[in-house]
Amino acid sequence: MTQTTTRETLSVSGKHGPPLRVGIRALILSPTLLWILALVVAPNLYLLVFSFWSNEIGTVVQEFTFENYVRAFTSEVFLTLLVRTFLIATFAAVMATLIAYPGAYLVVRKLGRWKLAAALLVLVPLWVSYLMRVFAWRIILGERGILNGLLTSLGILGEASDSFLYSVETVALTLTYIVVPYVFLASYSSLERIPESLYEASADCGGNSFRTFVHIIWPLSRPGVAIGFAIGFVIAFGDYVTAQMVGGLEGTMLGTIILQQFGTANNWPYGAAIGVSIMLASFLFLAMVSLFSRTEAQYE
Amino acid sequence: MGATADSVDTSMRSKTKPDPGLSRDRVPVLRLEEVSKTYEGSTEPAVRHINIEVGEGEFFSILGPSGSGKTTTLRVIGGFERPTSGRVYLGGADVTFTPSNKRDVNTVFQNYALFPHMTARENVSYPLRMRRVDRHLIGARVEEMFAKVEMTGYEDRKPNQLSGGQRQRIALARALVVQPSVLLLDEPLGALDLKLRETMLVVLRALQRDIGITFVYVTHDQGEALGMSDRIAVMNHRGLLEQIASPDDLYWRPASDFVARFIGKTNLLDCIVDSEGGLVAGSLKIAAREATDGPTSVQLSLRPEEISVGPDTSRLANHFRARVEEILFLGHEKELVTTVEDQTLIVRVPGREKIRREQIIEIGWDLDAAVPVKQSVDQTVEGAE
Repeated sequence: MTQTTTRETLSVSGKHGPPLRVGIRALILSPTLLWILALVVAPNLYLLVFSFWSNEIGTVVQEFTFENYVRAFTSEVFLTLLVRTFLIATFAAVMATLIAYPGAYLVVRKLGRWKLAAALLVLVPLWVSYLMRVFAWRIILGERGILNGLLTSLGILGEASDSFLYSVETVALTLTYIVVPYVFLASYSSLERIPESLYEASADCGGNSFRTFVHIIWPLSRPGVAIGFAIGFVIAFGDYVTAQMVGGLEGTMLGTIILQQFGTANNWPYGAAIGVSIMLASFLFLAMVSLFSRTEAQYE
Repeated sequence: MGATADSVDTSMRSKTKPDPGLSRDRVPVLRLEEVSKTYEGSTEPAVRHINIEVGEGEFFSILGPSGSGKTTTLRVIGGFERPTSGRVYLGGADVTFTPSNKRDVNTVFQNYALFPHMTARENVSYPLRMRRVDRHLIGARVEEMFAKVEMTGYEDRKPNQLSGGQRQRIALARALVVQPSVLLLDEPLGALDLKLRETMLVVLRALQRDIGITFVYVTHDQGEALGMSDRIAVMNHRGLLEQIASPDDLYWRPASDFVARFIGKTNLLDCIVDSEGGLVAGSLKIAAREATDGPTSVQLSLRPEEISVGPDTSRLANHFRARVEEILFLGHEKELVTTVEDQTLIVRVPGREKIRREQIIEIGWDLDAAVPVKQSVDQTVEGAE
């Protein structure tokens, strides 16, 4: 992209030579750079710095300390929540992948000219507010919810149960639902890119559809699926709204603690330390995922 | 000026030889019987009533303009499309409904369709792995294939690290490694530049002779088809077969005006039979060995190289004075657009001949030179439908 732009610039004002090219390139890139600097790099650096400062009764003292990290990693609550959050996020991302990838495969392979319409349908929930989507599950799973109504009217349950809502499982289920469209989108676009001729070439070589999938389609779509999985994982890992709305006490996740530290507890450095820990943990996890999902391939 | 080309031409053609069809000593390894294919959502069939028999070890080409359904025909043979009607036989067995992974044919795809995440070696091994060939045997067999297509040393490259011609060779190796009974090639040279195409032509022909596998080769390039094929099937714009014949017969004895025009250059003379049984094209009286068994009009195809130029053309059955309107210098020869009375004739002379525009030259041709051609089946069918 930048290269073609540069070449065009050259042909328009070739006599000005390199300085202009560099200048224009910088100009073209500047919105992106600004965005990344101001909204990604700076806040995270700030967060990192904060996590090494100490806190004295609600006031931040600019004094270097490891105290926050020590406190976090010796705190049973933090460690329990870290493991729980990690497990919930992994579960949600894995489940969403198991649902979305085969779905995307079916849409791409079987729906022909309707595939774009089908893909849009899967993405429709994204148009609805995030809160509404989570709230919908309260309507379904709540004590006076749809599920209870159905089960009691069918006589399966004697009386409405309150056990569907406010649990780890509810959070995992809701988060799965939340991240499915993202995994679907990533899977869909990676499957869509695989040319029809590769399916035919594999069949031509004697491969049935299962072996074609295993040897050709999966390796070629795997990196895309990994991206979808990663997005799903990150969304689920950092989520606290879902945990608060459908998780109850049992379904508390790490995000809730951070919210507390920056809010009621008013301990920003500790909150920052937890935030940094979450980022590092998910970064490590995703690095591993991408390492095992890599496929080097370039389409002709 | 002389009629030097004439003697050469006469020795080359074999006008008395009948259409060879499939020689009796050749077993049909592939047979299409009345194959028609209409794609979903289309009212016009892509191919209609295709009947083809291809013999063991034959280099068979399907030639036609784009949109003539030649690729569709190939895809029907490969098992990628199911014919709407008709049957496909491979080695005598009906494979019309056999999926492509169970057919004893392999394809070299137009864009090669190499697996981008696999090395060249993995690509070539793939068909063997799919056939569950013993691992120890795969190595040797693949190595042998790399040697055959002269790609030894490139085994560990990925497709995107190979040039077009190299990909082509790997695609060939992949398709040939399991020794299919028929190899299908879908315009395999289309994406290559001219020089490379010429090299690959030679490679293909040599490879085919070497391994003796039947090739079915689809192309829109008459040069490729004429140069390599044992026999050629010509298809027209509407997915109908015009003629199946050897390159020689196709060129010298075109079955229809379509074939005559599509294969090489030709002069088509619309003649009517006059009251004395002679042929007249416009105001030209033409002598031809045409049995006027009924029709009141006939179309004659006269190849430019059949027309001799010079004073000694006066001894030929047809002899006219022509005016040179346009000269196209092609290097080894000149192509002249001439007018004879109200007819336009394309004539070829050696490149060294000194001819000016608007010059009047003497031209002539033999009794046998102009061959009658039928109207294309295209129009015939249109009339019938």
